[in-house]
Amino acid sequence: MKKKLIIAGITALLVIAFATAYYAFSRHHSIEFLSGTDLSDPDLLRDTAAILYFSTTANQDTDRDGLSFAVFVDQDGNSKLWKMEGLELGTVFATKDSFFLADRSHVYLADSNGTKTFTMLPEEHTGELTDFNEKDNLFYSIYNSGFTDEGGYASNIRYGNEHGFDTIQIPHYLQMSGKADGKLLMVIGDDDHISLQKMPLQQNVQLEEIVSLGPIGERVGLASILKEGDYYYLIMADTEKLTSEVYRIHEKTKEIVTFPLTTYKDINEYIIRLPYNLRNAATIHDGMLYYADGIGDVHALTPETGEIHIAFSLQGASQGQMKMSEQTYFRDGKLYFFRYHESSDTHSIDTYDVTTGNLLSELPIKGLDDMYYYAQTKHKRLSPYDFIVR
Amino acid sequence: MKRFIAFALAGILVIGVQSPIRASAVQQQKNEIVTIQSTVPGEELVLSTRLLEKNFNELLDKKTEKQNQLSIRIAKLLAEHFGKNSKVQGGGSANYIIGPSESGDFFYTPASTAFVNHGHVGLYYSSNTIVESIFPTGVRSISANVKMVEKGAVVKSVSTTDAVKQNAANWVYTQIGQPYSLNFMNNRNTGHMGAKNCSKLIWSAYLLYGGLDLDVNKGFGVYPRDIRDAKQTTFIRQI
Repeated sequence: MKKKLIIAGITALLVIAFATAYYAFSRHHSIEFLSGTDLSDPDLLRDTAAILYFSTTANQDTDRDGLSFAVFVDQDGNSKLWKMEGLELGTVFATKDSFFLADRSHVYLADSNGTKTFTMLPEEHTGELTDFNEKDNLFYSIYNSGFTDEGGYASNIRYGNEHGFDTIQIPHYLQMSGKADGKLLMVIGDDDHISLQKMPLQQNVQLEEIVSLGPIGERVGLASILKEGDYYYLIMADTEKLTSEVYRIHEKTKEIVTFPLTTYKDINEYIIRLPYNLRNAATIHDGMLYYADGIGDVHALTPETGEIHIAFSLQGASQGQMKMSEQTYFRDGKLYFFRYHESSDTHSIDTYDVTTGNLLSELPIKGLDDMYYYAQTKHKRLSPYDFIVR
Repeated sequence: MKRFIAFALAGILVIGVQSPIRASAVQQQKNEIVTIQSTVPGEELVLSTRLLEKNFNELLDKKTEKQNQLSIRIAKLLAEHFGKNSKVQGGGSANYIIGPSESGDFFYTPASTAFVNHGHVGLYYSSNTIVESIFPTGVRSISANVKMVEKGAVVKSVSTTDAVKQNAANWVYTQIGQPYSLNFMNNRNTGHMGAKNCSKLIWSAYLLYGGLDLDVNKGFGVYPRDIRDAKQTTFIRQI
């Protein structure tokens, strides 16, 4: 009898404690996330000026509780959060009137007709690149999927539109990737031989070698593959020589010209100078190649003369190995820089003119605290992986 | 500090309250046990409530489990509450790239799942390419230029020949197409060729190709921290 009383008493105490805690804490500010309906809201589709993507790393997903967020920022700097499952290195994509998002097991397509969610198998855990092919009205999202049961490697492509999505497979690990003219560009291969290849973004995997790049050595990509006119541009580092170079490759003649970009004094400087986001680290504008490194130096290359110089530096860029979630995005001769302000503990999107290096505007972002605190309460660490400006 | 208090409170709820309940109740019941003749071996004790001791313990276990769940939920609420009201440097936006190291080296990063910092390890196949096992798909390759880690991460080398390091790295890269295994507790005793988790992947590579047991405590399970702290490893750099 005493036993039952003790158990009942303690259980009652715990229930009371739980109820009290729940009551007390539920009164605090709750974080509001967008719903699927909100995602296709005409105001959101129209007013979104930029989208940021954050996720936990795949190794934080062992209990299936990884997180990712697409942050929709409007012209006034107000942000709205769309919460998804985790997808390390995930991407976001927006056309003029739609959003295309993905997490480890879903793709989401939002437009004025509503938000459609497609469950995708196999799950993906490492994003690579996303694009939209207007010609066939298909979205493409490429993933670094991992080793296959047969010992090979797979980079899966989810492709589709509002009518449904399917998955095809590139049987290679993508050392580098990029997109141009409706084609996927990639550097693939093994230790003895890597090559630049292209593949039409279509439902069939048909790789075409552009040029051989020899043994990989200790080379590694520092930016997306770019194309301008007849030339492909690759920015690669050699971590043994502690240098980086720009490769300019003529599509037809296959001629490769290299331009020295940076010499690092040691491996620490190399790590510190790694770009904030390799996908958005470089662009070509008015015949000049611009490359933003991890301490905010924007390098400019004139391919005709081979002259390389630091054109300008981004204000407030982190200078050490600790980054503050900075992101870069180039478009139409402007460089958008998502940065952190230590003095006010806030973030902003700063806009630079790449030609003059002038800071054109600064847009403070409101509402990111909610995302960071939500992740913190889940004992998760979010990393920034993508940033686009419409 | 606040989080510490929160978890201390939860700990008191889970351990400090429940254990005495069980101990005192069992003791109380045992005091009421009808003495069983020792000449009847194997006969189970019968409590005055006519419950078998086994059944009684099962009942208590169920009660304890329910209380544990309640306490965990309270702990999570407390953590969420104090998390909401505490500040993280940079609003939690600080992040780190692990960067390159030599083939055969490995990195360890703190990593939490369900409030438990279990850690994570990955091996450098080449100076710029990391191979790691992740749940649930298994082994993947990722550029060291984009691999994010937590503050406190370390890069370490294994004290052995270059040939062993290269062979271990090659095995990790080319021989594995296996899914992820959640079995950390007993992964020393599972096969090298089957499903693996992050620490088993590295442990198996060096055991098979260098005869090195990278498990600091030689327990049943090889956890990421066991690899990090193995005496055959040397420090390279810390994040």
